[in-house]
Formats: sequence, structure tokens, C-alpha cells
Amino acid sequence: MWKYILKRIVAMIPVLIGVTLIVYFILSLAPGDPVRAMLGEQSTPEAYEEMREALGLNDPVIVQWGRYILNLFRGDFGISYKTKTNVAVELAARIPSTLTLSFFATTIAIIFALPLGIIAAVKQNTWIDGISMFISLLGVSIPIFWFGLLLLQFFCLKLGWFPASGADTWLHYVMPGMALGFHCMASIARITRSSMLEVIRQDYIRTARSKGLSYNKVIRKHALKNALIPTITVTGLQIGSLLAGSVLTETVFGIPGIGRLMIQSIQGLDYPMVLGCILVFTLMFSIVNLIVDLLYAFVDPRIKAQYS
Amino acid sequence: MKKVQLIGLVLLIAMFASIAVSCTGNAANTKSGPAIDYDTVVIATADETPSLGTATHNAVAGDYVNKLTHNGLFRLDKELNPQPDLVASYDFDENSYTWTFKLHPGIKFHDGSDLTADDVVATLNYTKTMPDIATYTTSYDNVTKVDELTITLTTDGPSASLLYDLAHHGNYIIPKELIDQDADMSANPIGAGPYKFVSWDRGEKITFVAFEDYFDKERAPKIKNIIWRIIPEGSSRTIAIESGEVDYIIELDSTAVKTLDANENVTVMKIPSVSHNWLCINNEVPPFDNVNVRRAINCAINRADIIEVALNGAGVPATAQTPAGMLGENPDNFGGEYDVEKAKEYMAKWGGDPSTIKLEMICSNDTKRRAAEVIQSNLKEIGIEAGIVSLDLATYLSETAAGNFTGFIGGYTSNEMMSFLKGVYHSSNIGSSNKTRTANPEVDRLIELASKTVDQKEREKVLMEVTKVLNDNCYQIPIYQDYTLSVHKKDLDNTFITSGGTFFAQEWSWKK
Amino acid sequence: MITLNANTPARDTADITKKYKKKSQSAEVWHRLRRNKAAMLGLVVAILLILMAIFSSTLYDYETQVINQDIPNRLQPPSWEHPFGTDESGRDILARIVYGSRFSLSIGFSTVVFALIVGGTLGALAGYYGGMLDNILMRIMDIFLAIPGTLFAITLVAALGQNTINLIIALAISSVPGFARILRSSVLSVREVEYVEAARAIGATDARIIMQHVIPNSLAPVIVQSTLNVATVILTIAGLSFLGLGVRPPQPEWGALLSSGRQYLRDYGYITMFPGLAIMTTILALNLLGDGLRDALDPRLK
Repeated sequence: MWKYILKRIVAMIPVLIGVTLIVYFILSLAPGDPVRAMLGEQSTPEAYEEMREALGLNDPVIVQWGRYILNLFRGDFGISYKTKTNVAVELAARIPSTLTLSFFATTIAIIFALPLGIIAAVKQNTWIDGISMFISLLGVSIPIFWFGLLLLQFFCLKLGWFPASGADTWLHYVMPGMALGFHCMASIARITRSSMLEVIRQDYIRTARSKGLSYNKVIRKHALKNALIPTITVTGLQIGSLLAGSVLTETVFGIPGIGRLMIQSIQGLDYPMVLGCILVFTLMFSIVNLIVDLLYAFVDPRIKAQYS
Repeated sequence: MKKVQLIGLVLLIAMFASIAVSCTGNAANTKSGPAIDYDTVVIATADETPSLGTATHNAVAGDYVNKLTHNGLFRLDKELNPQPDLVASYDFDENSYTWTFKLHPGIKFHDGSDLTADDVVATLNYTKTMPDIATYTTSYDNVTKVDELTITLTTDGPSASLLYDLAHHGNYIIPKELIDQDADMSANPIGAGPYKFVSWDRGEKITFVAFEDYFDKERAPKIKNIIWRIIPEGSSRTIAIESGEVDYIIELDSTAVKTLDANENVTVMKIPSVSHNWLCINNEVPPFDNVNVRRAINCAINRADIIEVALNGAGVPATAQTPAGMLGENPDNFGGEYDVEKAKEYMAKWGGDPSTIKLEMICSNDTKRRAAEVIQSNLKEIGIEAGIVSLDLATYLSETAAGNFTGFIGGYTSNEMMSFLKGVYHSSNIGSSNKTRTANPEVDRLIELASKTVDQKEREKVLMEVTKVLNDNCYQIPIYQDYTLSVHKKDLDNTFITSGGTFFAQEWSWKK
Repeated sequence: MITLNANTPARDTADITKKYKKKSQSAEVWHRLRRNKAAMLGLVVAILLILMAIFSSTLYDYETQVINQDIPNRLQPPSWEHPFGTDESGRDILARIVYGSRFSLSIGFSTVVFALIVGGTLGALAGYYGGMLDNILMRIMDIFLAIPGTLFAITLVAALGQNTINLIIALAISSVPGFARILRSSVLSVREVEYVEAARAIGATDARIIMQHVIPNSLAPVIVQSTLNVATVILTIAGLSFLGLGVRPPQPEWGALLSSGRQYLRDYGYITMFPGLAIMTTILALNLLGDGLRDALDPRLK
């Protein structure tokens, strides 16, 4: 087990290095000039040259990248062009917000998706099935930022239930969590439904039924547990789209997370910060995938056997 | 089986949560009404400052917070004239171009130490090494300590810009000790300003508390806490003031004015600004090097429509190549009245085929994009097919400074005509703020003449002359001067915004 | 079920039987799809949308009705003349939405086609030749897969500059790994099947085997993935427009309409409402169709 985890973590390293290379390459194509952006339009040519030299921007891209990787291995993410602080410090300050948002979104997605999926499976091919699946699809069909703004209008302004923006208390995360969670609900509901269907048809369920157990009890005690495995996987896979959606959600709701930082940094041509953000996202994504795989093993002993 | 219970538990928690939420929600609702926390003012803004340090940035968002925590030797008053701030008195020796400044006695920094001549000398020598604010540190030299409260410095002749430079946030005074330690200025924003820094939650808010030992008792802050909230999305900011979460919004969307004007809990401030906004065209790229093409565009665009669509009416049409409301304004021969026929005549004078003109307008925000869409549609009338490119601000700045463009929607905000002219039209600023890349020796000569003319009346004449020359040549297409739009709760008193867009949070108070 | 006629060596017979087999298979899929009401609804809506996109130029004149501004009539509420109202520059919102289907759908489709061609080729090559090539290609795909797609597109559009082609490239690149994986795994599953071995034994070239045997067999998952992907792409463009990285004005792409109208959400809700509904309907239809297709193509889930 530990060996497996270690192996997976080691395997992440070349992927992360590859990611930095790709992003470095893309950023080198960008038209803007970070130094000009930093110094503003009234800068003198001397100050400009001095700053370019100091940031090492006069070196070839590949040299810059090599330097970045070497520093990265020493745990140095570089210095932000814009704020002139350590990128790692800035990232560390933002990660909790993004994690909290992801947590709320996932929880809300599961709270809504599981019942929808289960009901749909139990009432397969009835109008209830249809309606449940339709509802779950609505979330994924609405552009996140529009949905977010509508939520703001309704819950913050009309009803005054939630604060409109910020990240002070958990209350601040309910609405963004909803906007983002609804987006991820569809796949979770769908997979819950189909794996429930598959499980319901299994022999042991029939056996349980024939023993005289009530239908509800069978569903609760036997079917659900087995149906959960694919649900966990899909929930994990949703984290990817969740992270991407967090960029928009954080902007609309003013949450100080990595997503917003990344957009601001792209707009401010703050390359070390952009790289840092993408690295954090990629790392989060890879770690979640690893956790999903492990959970998978945890829930299903047959899979666990393969890892050891 | 455990899983089922887990789900049950989660659902239960969710239920309780929603109940709890609706309860606290009601509480919040009542709070948003008349109840105001008189010890605190919450300011909402779109942009976060890059740094809390004074000499490490040249950002407007940073200037706002620097004004809270720091002071300069001088400050700009409501009419944008420099006034002594830390300085009690000053003197200028016309023979040696030496300035003598005497500090107020007993000024304390936030850390309790005294602000003395040593700190001023250390600061002004330190700021001269900082690239971000290099423009504001060229006017003075030879900063010397005379005694504990007196310093001298020299300028290159009579300088009108020195006092403005000393009032810039880049030259705000910081403790010598921090400079000697090479401390991180953003992490230690210690100054002698009216508010002390408390905490900075990156991307979310910055908190300040009033500084009890502030030296200027007359201008001491009246509200104890200031919370600076960063809310990037315009509509979210508007909702935040309506729901009562924030007390003041620095930048209000023009689209929200109508709604908020009707809201009796808030006051919308529409301040005519000196910010001059234009369609800038690169005069080095043919056919924009031809004055007839430029004049054609100038009268082909419908400024009233642009103001309506882009600003929702919150602005006035530009009247000249330089801003109205400054010394030396002059609408002579501007030729900006909307007249398609006249535009076609100018195009005929040029003689080329309008459909061959390539004009790509760079826009860095939604307002500019809306303006560009109207211009695009106007220019079609005279046969020019213009394109629109959205670039974010940083890319836009670097592209336009380097001259890699045909056109862009931009503007320039300056507190007085001299620096406006120097920045926008003087050939020495090609490659930075002279974006049209205008190189007219006559214009350069007149600008330099004006800077040496001490007499106000004489200077006005020269300045009007420059504007006339600029109007004749129509180097760019001025569109409008917009309003600074801010909004605050009705009970917030003494709010004032200068025509440059600056406000003075330390003077605010709550009506009780 | 697929290997029925695998041993038939003659080329024409193989073609005939394949046609027959294909037809019966697609007939069965169609039969199953038809029983799925939601999927049929999705299909009908999708077809209507495509027709709308095709005939938008007959319905409206782009120059005079879609992008022409009419400032005095700006921000008009819905009326007989303007059923969906007018936007901030007085343009008819219905006309812009109808024409917008052209931009949104064509960007969606071309992105997927581009991603399918590139990703499919890479995946097929990797699966078919295996070994070193497979390893290298798939590791590269892993890297691309590790960056969340939207983030990648944002970075790429910001770097390459904003125009429709770059938008398509940026969105396509993030969809490439998905298609590569699908093609690779279906190639792997087909590669060792008897009839492919047989074809190889009689000297069929690699290209021919890939074209004739491998690709038809991977159609099912590819169709599903493509349908769902068009939906994702349309949503992503809307998000990019919100961040100011979408199509160039005055092109009436739906996301751009939605995003430029958001400042008027409070007082003129219809400006965002209709483009929002248009996006929602499209995504919903494509998702219903995609899900239905998946069910129909995978009988196990019936």
C-alpha cells in the first residue's frame, strides 16, 4: 500500500515538470511585456533594462525554465513580479479558500446528487426517473458565472440570507458552493443511478428480497454500499472541472482563492505566479486522483488486494 | 451499512445547516438596515494593491492604502494643490535652488519612534533607487540633514513639479531603521499616517485601525476601523452596498447608477473628472500619418452615442485635444462635431480607399469595449472596417508603449495641464506615455516654453497655443471625460472626491 | 458479436458483410435511442439548433440586423418588434441569438473535430504500435490531462491572442487527451481480435487495418464523447467570454452576449436571460442526447 502511494507520488514529479515546461512555453509566446506592465507607462528606459536584467528575462526561455526547475526543487517558487513577495507565501495564503470552496461544492453536489440518483434508479423508467435526471442535468447546463449572479440576486439581495462576497465565515461559502456544486452534480447523480441499477439486478439483492426484507431496507443495507464505488470515482474525477469552475466562481463571489489569483496574474503578466497557480491546481488534481484510487481500494476489498 | 448512516448524517447536518442559515440570515437582514457599526467603515474596491509598501509600486489601488498609513512631506489638497503635510514650514533659495524643509516636532511613527530628519534623508535617498517610482524621484537631489528637524535639498532650477513629487506616495516617509534593515516594506507598512495597518488577508481584505498618536490633531481620523474589501466583479460590489455589507464603493459600475439613485439608503457621487479618454491612433502607421484621415475619424464618431452606451450617460464629450477644466483649455478648431458628410469630405481630401484602412482598436475593459463597438459602427458609415481586440490591462500597457498597435481606447489622468501635455504629446515620451507617437518640434518647444513661464497669465496663453496646434493636427480622437462614480451609505459624512479621483478617508465620519 | 465474419478473406465480401452488420447494429442503436424520450428530445432540439445555425443568414441580415447599432432604441424590453428586446447598443437580441448559434455551434463542432483528428490519430498510433511510441505519447497526454482544461485554455488564449482560431486551438488542445485515450483503448481491444490478425496475415497494410477495422469499432465511445464535448466547449467559451477572452466583438457568440449583458442584469434582466437560456437549452439537449447515445450504444445499461 505505502509502496504504491510512494510510487504514485514519484510518478507525479515528471508530470509536474512537464506541466511547467508547457506553461513556460505558452507564456513565452504571450505578447505582453511583464516589465512594462510592472513599471507602468512612465518608466525610464534605464529602469526598464535594469528590471529585465534583474528578473533574468533577457536569457533564452529554456535557460529561464531550467533555472525555475532548479529553484523549484529547492522549494523556491520564485518571486511574484507584481507583489514582489514569495510566490509560495502568496499561494499558501490562498489555498485554504479554494479548498474550502471545493469542499462545500463537493458536499453540496453529493447532497443533491445521491438522492436524485438513488430515486431515479429505484423508480427506473418512470417520470420520477426522468425528472430526477433532468434536474441533475440543469446544473451542468447553466454557465457558472450567470448562475452565480442569479444566486446573488436572489439569495443575497432579495432574501438577504447570505453575504454577497468575501470569505470570512462558512456562510460566505454556501452560495459559491452551490453555484459550483450544481455544476458537478449531474455526473455524480448519473453514475449513482446506473451503478444502483446494476447492483439492484445482482443475485444477492434478489436473494435478500426473497428472504422477505423490505425493498427500502434492501436498498439501504445492500445496494447502496456497492453502488457507491463508482460514485466515489466520478466524484473524484469531477474535482478537475470543479477546480476549473473555481476560477469563475471565485471571481463572481470575490473569494480570495487560487483561481482568482491565477486570472489576476495572467492579466498582470505575473508569470511566476501563473506557474505557481497552475502547479498548485495540477498538484491538487493529481492528489485527489490518488486519494480516489485509494478510497476505491478501501471500499472494495477486491481492489485492495491488487495493490499490496 | 456504515455508508448509509454516513449519508443520513450528512443530510441531517445539511438540514440543520439550512435552518441555522435561515436564522442567522434573518439576523443579517436586520443588520443591513439602519444599524451601522459607527466604529467601522467598510470600503469596497475592484483592485487589490500589489503592495503595502510605498516605494515598491505605482498603482492607484496602492496609492489609496498608502494614504492611510503614510504621509509625505507634502500632500495634495481638494483642489489638487500641494500643501505642507509633515513639513511645518519651508523655504526656497532662488540663487542656489536649495529648498529647506522644517518638520513638525513630535511626529510619531506607528511603532512609537520619532520621525526626524534622519528618516526623511534615508527615505528620499532610498526612493531614488526604486525603479517603480523612478519618475517621481528625478526632481530633487543632495538631500541633507541640517538638524534633527531640518533638511535641505536642491533642484535643477525653478521646479514646479518638486512639491507634487514629494506629495506622491512613492516619496512617503518611512523609518530609517526599516531601510537600514532592508526590511520587506509591504510586510511592515510603518509610517506616520492616520491609520495603522492591522492585517492583510490576501485577495480578500485589508484592515486598518486609527493611529492614536497621529500628529495632525485637526485631521485625525474620526472612524476607528477601516476595512478594505476587494470585490472584483462590479455587480457583486453593487449588491454588497445594497445589502449593507459595505459602506463605500470606490468604483461604481455606470450601469448601477440608476438603481442606486433610487435607493434612499445610499448616496451616489458623480464627480466630473479631468480624465481625458480617447481613441488613440498610431500616427506612425499610414494612413494615420495623414491629418485628413485623422480629422475624418474625429468627426465621424458620435460622442453622445458613445457616452450613452459606454458610460450610460455618465460623462461629457471631449472638447479639445486636451482636457477641459484645466488651465489653458481651448476648443478652437477641434472639429469634433458629429458630421458624416464632413468626414467623407476629409476622406476625399486624403484620396485613398477607406476599405483598405486597417484599424484594430485595443480595449482593456467592458466600458472601453462598448465605446469601441459604437466607434466600429460609426466608422462603417465612412467605409472603414475597424476591428476590436480585448487585451487585459498589463498586456495593453506594454503593447501600446512599444507601439505595436494601430489604435486603442485609452485615457490619461493628470492633475494639471503641464504634466498632461508632457506625458501625452512631448516627443521625449515616445515609447512610454506618448502613445500617438507625436513628434512635433513646435509642440515640444511650446511645452518647454510653458514650463519656464512663471507668470500664470502668460503661461495660460502658451498652453492655449499648444492646444490649438494639437487641435489643428488632430493627433488623436478625444471621446469623453467621464465622471468618477462612487457610492456610500447616506450616513457617511464628509465624503469628497477630487477631480483626479482621490478621496480622503481620514476625514470621513458617521452622522449619528 | 463483431467477429461474425472475421474469417472471410475476399475484400468485397468483407465490405458487404460489414455494411450489413453495421446497418443492423445501427438500426438496433436507433431503435434503442428512439425508446429514450429524453434523448429524442435532445436530438430534436439539437437538429433544430443546427438548422437555426444553417439558416440564420436567411432569417437575418448580419450587417443590418445583427451587428448594426440603433442607439435610440437601446435597452428596449421585449415587444412585437423585438421579441427578446434590444441590448445596450439597440441591437435585436433575438437576431443576435439566432445568429449566435452559428458562432457557438461552429466553434463547438470545429473544436471537437480538431481534437478528434489530433487526439484520435495520436491515440490510434499509440494503441496500434504500442511499445516506446505508446509510452511517450501517453506520458505527454498525462501531462496535458493533469492541467484542468479550462485553466489551460485560459492561459493559451491569453498568450496566443484573442481570435476565433486561437480559441478553437486552445479549447481543442485540452480535449485532445480525452480522445487519445478513448481511441487508444479501443484500438488495444481490437488489435488482438482474430479478424484483425487475419487481415494482417493476408498482408493488409497498417493504415488499412486502422481505417477499416479499428476506427469503425471505436465509433460508439467517440460519438458519445464528441456530443458531450461540444457541450463542454460551448460552456467553456462562455466562461472565457466572461473573463474577456472570448470571440471578438461584435460577433454575437452566446457567451459574449451573456457576459456583456451581465452589467445590466439588475434592470434589464432579459438581456442576459435569453442568451443564458439559449446556452442552457443547447447544453441540456446535447447532454440528453449524449447520455441517450451512451445508453443505446452500451446495451449492458439497458
